[in-house]
Amino acid sequence: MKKIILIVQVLIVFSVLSCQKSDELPTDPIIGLGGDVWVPGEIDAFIEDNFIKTYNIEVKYKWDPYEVNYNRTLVPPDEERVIPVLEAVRDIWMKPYEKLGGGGFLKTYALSKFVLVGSAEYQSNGTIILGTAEGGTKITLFVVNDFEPTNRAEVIRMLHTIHHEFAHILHQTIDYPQAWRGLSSQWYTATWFNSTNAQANAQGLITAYAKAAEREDFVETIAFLLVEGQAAFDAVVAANPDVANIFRTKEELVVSYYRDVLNIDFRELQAEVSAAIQSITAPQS
Amino acid sequence: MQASMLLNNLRMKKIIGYGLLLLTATACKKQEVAWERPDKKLGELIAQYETQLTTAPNGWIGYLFPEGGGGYTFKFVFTPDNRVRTQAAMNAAYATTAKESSYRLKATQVISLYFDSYSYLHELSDPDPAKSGGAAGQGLVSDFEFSILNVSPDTLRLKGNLNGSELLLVRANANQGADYIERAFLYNQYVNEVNGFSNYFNKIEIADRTYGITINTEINTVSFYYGSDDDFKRFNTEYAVADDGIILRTPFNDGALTITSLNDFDIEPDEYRATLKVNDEIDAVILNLPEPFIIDRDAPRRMYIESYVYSSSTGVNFSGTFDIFDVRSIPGFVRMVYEPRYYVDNYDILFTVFNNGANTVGPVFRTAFNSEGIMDFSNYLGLSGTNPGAAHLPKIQNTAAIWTDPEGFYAYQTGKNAYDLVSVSDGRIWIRFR
Repeated sequence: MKKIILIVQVLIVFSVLSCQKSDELPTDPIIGLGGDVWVPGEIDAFIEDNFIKTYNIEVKYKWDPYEVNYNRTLVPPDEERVIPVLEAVRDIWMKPYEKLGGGGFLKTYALSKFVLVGSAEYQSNGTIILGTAEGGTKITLFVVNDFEPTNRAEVIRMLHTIHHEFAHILHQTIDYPQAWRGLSSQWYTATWFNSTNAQANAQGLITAYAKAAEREDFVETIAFLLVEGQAAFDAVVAANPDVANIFRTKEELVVSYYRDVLNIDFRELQAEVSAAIQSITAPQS
Repeated sequence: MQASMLLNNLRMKKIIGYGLLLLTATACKKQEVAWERPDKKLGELIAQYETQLTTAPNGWIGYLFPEGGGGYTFKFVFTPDNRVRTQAAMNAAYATTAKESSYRLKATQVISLYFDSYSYLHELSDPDPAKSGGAAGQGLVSDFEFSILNVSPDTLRLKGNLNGSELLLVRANANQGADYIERAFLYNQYVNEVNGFSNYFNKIEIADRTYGITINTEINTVSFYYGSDDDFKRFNTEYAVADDGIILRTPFNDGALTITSLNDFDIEPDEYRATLKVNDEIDAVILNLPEPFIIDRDAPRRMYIESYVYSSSTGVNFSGTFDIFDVRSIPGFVRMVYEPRYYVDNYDILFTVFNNGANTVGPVFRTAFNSEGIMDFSNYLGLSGTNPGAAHLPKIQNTAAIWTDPEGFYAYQTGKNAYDLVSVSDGRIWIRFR
């Protein structure tokens, strides 16, 4: 019996040792590991200098179906529009925040990725999406192909989208004040698109889209105050005296959110953004 | 009982022992197959495709057949730095001026060619109706990322990843140089003169056969209509534009006759006739007719029941003059659309979309059709929408007057969801929808 056990043990050792072999690890690179590569051009250099080296923000302007809603028809940006859009983003969104919030501000409330899309995203209910923010890190900007720096309305539309989405990132990091709850709760609806801006204004909401949800109301108010500006906000309030107190409460809450949470003087931020829009849209003389 | 168990036990041990011996002896006998890693193969294929695309001295002629219908001819010149220069036989400017954009080959499930920044090709996919001329959110249902299905040295066959459009890349030869697309575009414009004959109806005589024929140069389709009134036959196919004729995507077969191309058009606009060659060899002639060659009795029904927004780029054509009411001069004109069941109570519209898509104006009515193949637009409720101004309103009113003619219209299908409507009372009046 012991003999048999011994033989079996030897055999097992033998069979284990006999299969020891040393294969080399494959050296072929895994395709697409680390992202797609292409020969970099002028736009890639601009992104490298202004977004990656400075803020570690990736800007995707070439088509990537996995970054967007795959069951919608979308088109990639026209290369001619990419740098003007990114310059506007840098000058009207990043620089004002950085100036007032300090050099580290955009690193604290950091974005990791911008995705640019040439067209709008058309929804089945007839509305179009101009921008989305996801998970506090990624902003997708649509309708890049219609951007024209000298067209003030177009610059305001695009920058409204960016400030709107960045405000989402802010409140996704630190929530907006509880006092916001209940101010306009009765007006929030999934079918916000059945209201015009004027109807929404009369209900104490700054745009029709602000009726979509509480958080949309919050960020629309911020974006409107920053991009359309205080004068435009005051005009809306003046035209709707019945709900003036709601507008003013919201304005106060925004200012105090920026002061208490972000340590930014909202009034100065408004002035910076307004000056930046002016310098981008007005031809330099 | 016990003895047999013992025997079994011994036998088992022997079997196990021999089994182990056998295992040991054979364990390392194996045939090494030189398996390649998938990534290696993918990398090689991508490099091979890229070399193939970038080493064609005259570039590639691209024939794109969007899933939404129609045919479009392109020229692509690929360079190794991920750049591609595109010309398109879509309009005169695109045919002459190349636009540079980028491309890349991506290892998706099937290796795909991505045209990854905007160029002429993307206009067909653009969800903005003002850019594509198609439906909002869909464009013309085309593609700009394609799986490479089939490769030979001179031809690549590709299929769109989103909508399944077909793209054929054919290596350009020496006489398909920088001006080839322009020549092809101009040739297609020349072929379009058969649509400028006085009446809408054309027939083609090939040897002893005669067919009704429509060449739609807007979406590049050719249609043959034949048979009898009770046994109507229709053949539609897209075509590719060349600089001496048009090549049918699907050959037309009728008995012994197979038509693969129509070439060498010689159009006599004053005589309302054109001579040409079929398949580069058989003489044929296109003649203009005041009355229908044959009536497609089912076409009005097919057109009406489809839930589709039909779009016209010119409005009403009359006796060889496109856009007789000059609706295209309305500021920011996008297109004219016919939409059955636009309103929930089954009222239909023929809206002119202007002001870059912001405004519409046009008649509201109901569509009726009969077994004779005639559709008419009655129960006219008047115009609805935004007044385009005193200078332009008559154009809409004139269109509405023609549209609501109680005699009605014949319909001829020229492609997927593409129909020509021809006035029953006057064969010179027609509207082309896509």
